Amino acid sequence: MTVGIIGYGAYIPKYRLKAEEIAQAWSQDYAKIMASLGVHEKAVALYDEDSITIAVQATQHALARANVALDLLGALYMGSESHPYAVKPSATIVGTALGCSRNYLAADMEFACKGATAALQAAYGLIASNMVSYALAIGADVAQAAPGDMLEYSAAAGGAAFILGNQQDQILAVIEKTLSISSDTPDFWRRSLQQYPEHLGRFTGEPAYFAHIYQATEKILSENSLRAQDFDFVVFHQPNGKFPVQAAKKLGFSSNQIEPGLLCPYIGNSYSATALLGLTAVLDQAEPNQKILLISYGSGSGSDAFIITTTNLLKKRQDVTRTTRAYVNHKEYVSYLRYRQMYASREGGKP
Amino acid sequence: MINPIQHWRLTKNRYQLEGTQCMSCSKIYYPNMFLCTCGSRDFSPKKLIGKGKIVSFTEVFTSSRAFENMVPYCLALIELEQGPIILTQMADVHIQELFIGQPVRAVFRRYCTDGPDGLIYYGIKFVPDFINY
Amino acid sequence: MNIAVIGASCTPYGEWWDKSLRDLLAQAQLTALDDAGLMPKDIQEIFVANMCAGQLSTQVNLGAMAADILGIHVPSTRIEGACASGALAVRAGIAAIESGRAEVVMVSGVEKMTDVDHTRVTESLMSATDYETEGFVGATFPALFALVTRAYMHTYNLTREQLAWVSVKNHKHGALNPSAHFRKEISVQDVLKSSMVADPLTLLDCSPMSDGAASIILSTPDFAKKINKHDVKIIASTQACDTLALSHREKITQFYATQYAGQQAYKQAGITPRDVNLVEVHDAFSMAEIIALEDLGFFDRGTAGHEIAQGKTNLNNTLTVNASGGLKAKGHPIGASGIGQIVELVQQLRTQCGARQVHNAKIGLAHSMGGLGATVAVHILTNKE
Repeated sequence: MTVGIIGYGAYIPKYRLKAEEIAQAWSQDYAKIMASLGVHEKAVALYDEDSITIAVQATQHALARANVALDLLGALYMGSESHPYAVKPSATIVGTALGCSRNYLAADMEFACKGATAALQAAYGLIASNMVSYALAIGADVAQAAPGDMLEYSAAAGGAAFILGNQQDQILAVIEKTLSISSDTPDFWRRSLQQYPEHLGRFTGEPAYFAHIYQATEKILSENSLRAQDFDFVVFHQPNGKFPVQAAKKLGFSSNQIEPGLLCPYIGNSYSATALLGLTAVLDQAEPNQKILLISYGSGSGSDAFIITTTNLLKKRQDVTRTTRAYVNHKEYVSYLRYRQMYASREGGKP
Repeated sequence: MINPIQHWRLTKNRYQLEGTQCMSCSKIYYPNMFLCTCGSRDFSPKKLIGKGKIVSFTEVFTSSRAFENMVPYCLALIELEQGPIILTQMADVHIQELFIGQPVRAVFRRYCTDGPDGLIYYGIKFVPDFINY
Repeated sequence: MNIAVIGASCTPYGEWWDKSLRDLLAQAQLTALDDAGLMPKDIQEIFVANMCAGQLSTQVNLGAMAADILGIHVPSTRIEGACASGALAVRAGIAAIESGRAEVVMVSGVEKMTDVDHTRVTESLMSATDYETEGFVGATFPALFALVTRAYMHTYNLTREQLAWVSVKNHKHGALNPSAHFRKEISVQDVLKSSMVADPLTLLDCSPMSDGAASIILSTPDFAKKINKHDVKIIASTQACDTLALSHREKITQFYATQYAGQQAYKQAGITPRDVNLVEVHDAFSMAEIIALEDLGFFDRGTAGHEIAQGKTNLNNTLTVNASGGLKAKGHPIGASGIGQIVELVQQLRTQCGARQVHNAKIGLAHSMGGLGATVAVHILTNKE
């Protein structure tokens, strides 16, 4: 059976915090920061947005592109590392907000930055096994970083949603193959009662991000007898503006292949949504029958790889609703103080 | 005081902009109605389209405890395309950007919480409509 | 209708840290008795108005408290209709007399608003709105009035400066009232420069949070003649309602309940707006006064703001509005306000008001409003035979 994407949507909050602002707040060397991270500005949520609201908005765009009735959705998975509740599923709040009846399977996923590609794989599996006909996989995050931590420059907010199905006359992009690499790697984590994550600095690079990305990429390419040049687009997870470019170079991909899906320099790293927003940006501009390689990475660690091929139907659905680029460009800058104030408002509040 | 069970009862109204429609004369109300102006008591749920125009607006500077950390925020009376007028918060916007008659669209947002360990109350706010995609 | 007002008194309105809800109620009730020259045992029924005591003082069952204060056991009931509670209590008192079951009725009102910080009071006031739809989205009471204000200004070309004259005028009157919460005059610039509460309404567009109590004693004309206190009477008492939620209204720049209650009141009294010498309107916000005067037929739609700015409603000008200082300057202890308006009219009609006396006061009208015109009551009083 062919399983593919029948609808996709992106959502990025309007507000942006400049790296320059953060550097000024902490008296850090802006030039050095830019050289090592390559993130000019990042998207931030203020007090009335969280992973759930972002997920809903991204999904509404996915539904607009899919043109499928809501009551046909058999499953809803949401991947995030900032689920608003530690216990109470985001997925059902999203489902209710969208207008779903009670007849669906729902669950939250977490795997650092790759909870949503795990959601995609689970959705794929349910359809491929004929358990459901349509499934929704969402990645959304409002990423947290401790004040003064390097992570502040990249931890951002955003969401992407994908509706999967198996009807040939609806599929905009086929998910040809997918595989995963999983390990226990202490590069980045957050204990349950803590507000902010911990990370091991330089260890997050070579033994963590790069090792898993390389392994997943090499495995999916060799198992399918494909090479870097066979793809029109490659999208890697983007923890900053430098790592994915480095990975692309090492693996033999050109800048033409990676540029269209490289959004981190302007919207930051929205964790579970990052790689998927790269994918929505690519889908927004891809031509029919183009090949996309998607490699996500989640700390802790793991990497999910996907080979995706666009169909003739994609072109007609791209501009049906707001594109990823339109969201990247729709922005208003906020000060560092306001960003910190609003973070407190979202979590604090009194009855 | 906003309470979780009251919120649960009103979920469809607050999350999906569900109103009610008179089965006799088709008049639409939000959030609900017991007795239509035409005299009928027969109503059926009606999910409303989240598009409309601003009737009036304001910006709030002092509020209740639930919202005092979010001031200033904008409120607006909006006439939905399908008829009913609703009161809502405007999101992502400064008061200078608003005008009477402005086309607006619905977005799903967070309103407030019952404190750090209480329930999160979501709902519909409105933003100026996209001019083009 | 002919109901005698034989006693009337209110405590000064303000921030009374030393006085509790009960202290204020007692003060008003006892001075009203003195004013009527009566003893507690003469009172046959009591109505007491209050809006927030349950939330702010954790005290309900105020009917019992009012009777307790006088040491009597008569029927005593708490009446609530948001900011119109006081006027509704007057209506209840009148009904008790008209029904024949009581000859002498005490109607009191009390509010204690300063024991908690203003955020809690704001929350309490939000319970006068349609809470599930308006309170939920963070619509404070001033915010709802601000929506009305903007729509009115847009429709009738009223300027921000013109709107400010309402508070300026009311403070001018309040400065002459020894019982007022605020006795200082203010300027248009003061109003414009004061902090924004809900755009375009500033702090000085909004009535204050005050502590206070008021009490009147009503009786049949016969009883009033017997004790030689038959100088002032109520000749009309009406009430009307409208939707709780502002979003459910047909129009938001006028209040149907005021129009209806007003028209019924003129009919009951056999008069027209032109016959009225002085008016106490419910100026919870500056815009409320403007809309009320138009709804009551004193000015054409869309013109009251201009007229007020030109001084037409100043003391002893074309029509004296809020000689007491109104809710803005006299103060707004919610439960007491509607009754305090009656006290003012009584004192004006008895020529007891000194510097703020309305000359040749013969017919006075009191207008009280709960929520955004969700509940409105109108009373007309006269000193004519």
